[in-house]
Amino acid sequence: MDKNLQNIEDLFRKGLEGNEELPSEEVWNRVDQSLEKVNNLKFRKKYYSLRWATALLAVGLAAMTIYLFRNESKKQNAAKARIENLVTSEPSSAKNPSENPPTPSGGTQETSGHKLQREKSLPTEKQKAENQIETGKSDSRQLNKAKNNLNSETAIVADKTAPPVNEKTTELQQPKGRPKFFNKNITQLDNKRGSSGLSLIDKPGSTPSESVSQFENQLLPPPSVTFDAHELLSLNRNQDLKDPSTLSPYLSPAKTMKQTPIHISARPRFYATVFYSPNIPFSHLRDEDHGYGNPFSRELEKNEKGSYSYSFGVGLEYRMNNEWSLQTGLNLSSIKMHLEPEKIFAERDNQGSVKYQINTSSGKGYTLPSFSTNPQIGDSLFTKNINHSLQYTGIPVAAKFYITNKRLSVNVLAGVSTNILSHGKISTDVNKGNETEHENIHEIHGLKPLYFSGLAGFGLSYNIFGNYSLTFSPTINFAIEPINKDVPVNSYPGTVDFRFGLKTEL
Amino acid sequence: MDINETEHLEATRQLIKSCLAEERHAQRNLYELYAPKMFGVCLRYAKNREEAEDIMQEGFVQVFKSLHNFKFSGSFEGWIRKIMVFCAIAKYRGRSKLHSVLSIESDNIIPYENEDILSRLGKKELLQMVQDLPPAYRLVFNLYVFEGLKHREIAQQLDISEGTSKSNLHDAKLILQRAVTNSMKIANQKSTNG
Repeated sequence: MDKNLQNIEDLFRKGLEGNEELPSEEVWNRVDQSLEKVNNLKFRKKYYSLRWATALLAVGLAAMTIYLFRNESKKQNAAKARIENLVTSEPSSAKNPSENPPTPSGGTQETSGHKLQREKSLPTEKQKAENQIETGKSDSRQLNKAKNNLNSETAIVADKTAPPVNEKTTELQQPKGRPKFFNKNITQLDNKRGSSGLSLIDKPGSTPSESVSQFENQLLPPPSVTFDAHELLSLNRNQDLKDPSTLSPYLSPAKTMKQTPIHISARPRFYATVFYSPNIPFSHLRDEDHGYGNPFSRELEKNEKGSYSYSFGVGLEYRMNNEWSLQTGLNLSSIKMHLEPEKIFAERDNQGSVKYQINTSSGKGYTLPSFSTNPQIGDSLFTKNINHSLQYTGIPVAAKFYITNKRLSVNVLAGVSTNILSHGKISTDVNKGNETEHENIHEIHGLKPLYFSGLAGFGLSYNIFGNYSLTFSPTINFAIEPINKDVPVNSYPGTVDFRFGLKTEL
Repeated sequence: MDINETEHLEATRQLIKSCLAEERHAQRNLYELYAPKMFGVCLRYAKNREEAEDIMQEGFVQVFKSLHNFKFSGSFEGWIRKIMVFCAIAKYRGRSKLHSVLSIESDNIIPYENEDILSRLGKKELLQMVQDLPPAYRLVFNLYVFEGLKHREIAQQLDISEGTSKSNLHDAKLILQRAVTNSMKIANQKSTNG
């Protein structure tokens, strides 16, 4: 029995080992479809993460923009309020000098009071301004003495160790932490103001002596000096500090300030760029599960090649600080794809008419050549030189990070773009026998009117003269959602752009 | 290693690399290269062609999905075959617990020489006999006879006891023996009548 069973093992081993049989063709089709699904899943996962990244980037950008704008407007409002305080407080103290009469012991006591006042932690702006004006007056009396004795140390705001009244003195009296170049400019400006005899308290109706006025101009910090230096710098960052005429009104002579309305000089830094870009198009195709049977995407991918494409437009950029900027604009792009010659078949279109159907990665087009006006479903024609082009109007929103070195700046860019379909066209030559005809199809079925794409790239900008710069920025523009729907093949086109442009400050 | 074998190995390596790059035509080539052999394997584990095709489809999808795990250290064919067997096991794991389901009578068994049987019965008939086995028996028989696994390994793979594995194998062989005897009787009758 055992021997017989052993024989059974050997029998089947000999009989069936190495047995080969061909499975039906259906098995490969199922394997193929399963693999396609696996690929689609991978692709979807990849794009899900990309979508998330894009969404996060957009949210981050929006939050940053809101924060910066609010911050900027807060600063401007605060600065404006301080100036208004100063301007409104100035006449009252100047017109009614009796309200704060100088003490018999003169400026020394007031100067000490001024010192104490300065040491107070949070004096109001109005008090500050009044104190400054009064202190200036008392100090100006000291100047008269100081004029007689240039080495008199007591003349300088009761500071026995202070150096003589000169530019350095003025510098030393500026608040600590103020940049040197700023002090220098303040000094230059103060000198200028001194020479021109213009002063905040030098107004009609008041009769201060010229020397007092000059001294005030030399000794007193201008109203803006009591502000945070960084704030002022930020407000004047675009202006050349070496030229006092370009400085903000805070630092301008008082007369000018009275004659002109208060102007906040925090000039937004807007730039415009006109560009042209030759593009290299590419596309990823994905079969949509609509029960169409065998996947079309691979066949289309094999047959379709990117052709010459381009884009041009205007970019508008808001520079938030030295590093970051936001960019938007308007650009028109044309993507062109070329298909290998193929056989097309007559199908029923959406209106029920039987026409010849051309399949492209963008969608389907229908044509009816004059030599085949009444085709039956399944009739065929040969086509060659099939081109399909898509034109989109894009509105990008992107963030740029700059690294600037003298005239050259390098930037990296990331963002999203809304692309609105302007026009879609398929052109081809169809022939049957000796008949040949060129066909232009201006309606591509399945295209969505709008799709979103992601942007990423870097750029170079070289300042050629004044406010003009030449720019070059290679950028990848990739669809983050299909450009078509209700078609067997979903298309995710993209382009590699090489943008050449001219940029100017607005 | 002769030149042909080296060339074959190199060709296989290239094919695998192309498959790893997800080139569909390469995947198709690889499938066509190994499909007949693997379908032969799947047929033994299945009760019919349809089931064998299901196992093979699942097996090849797994092959392409886990191709990056192949280290080029052993036989590629052996590696694919192992995946097919695992797929067959996975298919039956979901079913009811594997245990002895039949009581086999071992009477009326006439011993025949294997050569004699093989000359009278074709591969198709033998395959049909294996496919007609209850799933548990078929699986144990295949793993023991064709894959060369020990009962301990079979027990681990199928999550059964060694005793069950031995019992299933024994019963499977008895069933096959009876089937062979019956087929031989019919064949003899046909030859006598003929």
